[in-house]
Amino acid sequence: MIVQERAAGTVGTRPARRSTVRGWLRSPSLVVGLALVLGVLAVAVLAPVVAPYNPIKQNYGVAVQPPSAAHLLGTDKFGRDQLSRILYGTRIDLAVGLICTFIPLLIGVGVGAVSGYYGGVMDTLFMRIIDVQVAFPFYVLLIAIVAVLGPGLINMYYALILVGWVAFARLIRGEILVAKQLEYALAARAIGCGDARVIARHLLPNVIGPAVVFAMSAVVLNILAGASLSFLGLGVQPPIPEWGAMIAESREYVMTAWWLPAFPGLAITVVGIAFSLIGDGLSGFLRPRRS
Amino acid sequence: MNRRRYIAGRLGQMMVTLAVLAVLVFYMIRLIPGDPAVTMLGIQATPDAVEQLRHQLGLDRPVPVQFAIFIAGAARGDLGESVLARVPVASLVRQRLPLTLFLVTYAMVLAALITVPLGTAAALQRDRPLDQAIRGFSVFWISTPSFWVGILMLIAFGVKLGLFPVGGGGRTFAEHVYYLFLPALTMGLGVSAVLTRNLRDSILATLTAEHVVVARAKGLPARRIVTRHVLRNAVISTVTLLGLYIGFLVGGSVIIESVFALPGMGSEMVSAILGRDYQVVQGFTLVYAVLVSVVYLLTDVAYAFIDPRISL
Repeated sequence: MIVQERAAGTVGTRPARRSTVRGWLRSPSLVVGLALVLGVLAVAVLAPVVAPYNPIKQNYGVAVQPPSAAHLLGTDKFGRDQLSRILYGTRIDLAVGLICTFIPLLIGVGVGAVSGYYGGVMDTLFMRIIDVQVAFPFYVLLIAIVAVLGPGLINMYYALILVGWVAFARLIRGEILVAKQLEYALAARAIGCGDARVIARHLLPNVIGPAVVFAMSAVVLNILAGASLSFLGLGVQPPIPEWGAMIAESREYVMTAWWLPAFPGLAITVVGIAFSLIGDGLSGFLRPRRS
Repeated sequence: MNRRRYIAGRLGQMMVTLAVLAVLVFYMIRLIPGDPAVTMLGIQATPDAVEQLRHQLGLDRPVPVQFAIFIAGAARGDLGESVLARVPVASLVRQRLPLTLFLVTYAMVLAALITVPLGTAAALQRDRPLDQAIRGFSVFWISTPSFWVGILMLIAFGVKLGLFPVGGGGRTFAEHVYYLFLPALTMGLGVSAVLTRNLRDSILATLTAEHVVVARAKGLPARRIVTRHVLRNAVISTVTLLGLYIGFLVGGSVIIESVFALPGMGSEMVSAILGRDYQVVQGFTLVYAVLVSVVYLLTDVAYAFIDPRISL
């Protein structure tokens, strides 16, 4: 895969970091994104407090009602309050996005750093894993893993983690390959730093930036993937309130009850945009300053 | 000579990949917790039926023999038999693959048609309102679930306005183009969000290149500089990215086919998983993976011809 190798090596042109708080505030994307994410986190934590109804309690007396004062976002076919379900759904979708990004990030950074720094057999083995994984379309691989493990929330976590770490490892490996040749890395080795110290204290802090920016896209991708799998019936199972599953449940009513698919999808989009904006803002700090 | 060696090396690499793929896909059914035959038939199945299915799947033989049978079958295009539909998996592939291929190609064409004007406009209007708006468009489409957009399009343009059919893929080429427009557009918009941003940055980088400065100094009209000198160079990196996104598009088609009830590979694969028809899941996974590997190979080979630096 020549293409990826070429895309990976971007070290060396990095400018001095402008990571003062004031600098951060100058990026509107970053500020808006962070504010949105904080808001979404608050909703996730406070769901029991802010949700007006029990998200799984059925009440057939008010089934499939349009938005009203009593039910701001309407009710579903079981008479459940959609606003409450969306608020509780934040917990599931956000957890999928964050956990299925953070664990792969840790694994990927470890594997990528060792693979890029030492090279050799391990690196070759790792490159073959990449080749094989790249051959599977992203969603086909996820679906195939869920097919083997069986549908469900926990297995969906396993699938996303199993698939997700490779991209991080590839990214870090590419950066390390370039950075280990640079003077500061050679200098660190020349003054007698051990491999572990060179990797952890000298190389990683300098190459982690792109991985952090990519992690923001990965959160979005994982939230979308989790919702998509649940939409297909392969992820979160009813009656757990999850946005993709809610859209799936609304399918028989799409002709008559527009609010059922509309709002959960909007919730996914808002959270997605929040993390995209953070990624967008952060990448601005990595790019060379415009002259 | 170098080019030939490069292509041979790339071909060998793909063979290794395919071999590992085959092993992985072979183990798919065998990794299912418990007895796959029981899982497929349900707990109420009679021992006889389970035994018969185990025999049909070849699970009662030693693993190396099973693998040999699997590989020999796959090489002949025999991917086993669907347990639910009682037809060969290969014939399901033949029925459903064309629509999926058409959909993915269509989505790529639409993505390109959206990307080139938007990316060019954004770059030429850098940091002005139009650029900001196009950037907003990108962030939105990257962050929104395609299956949701698909459903909304179906409601708006299919049901309410009645402009497009709400299911099926059509029979003739013209019908395909019409029936698959909404699904292909849904997929294409998602990809074009990523590509537009890339093309914009790539054009901005090219605008400062020496050959463009020379073209400007010569006094060539701006339009000609953009189309002949900038875009032709800038688009290479975008096309590379599009190539990388083929795998993503093929995977996305699984979801979009389910949304639009299209009789392609993806919708069949999803119902096969829900129906525990693992022979179909296994066969389809292999076909998808081989398909994408071949596309990547062809892309790399095409590049070796377009850009001589690659095979050096």
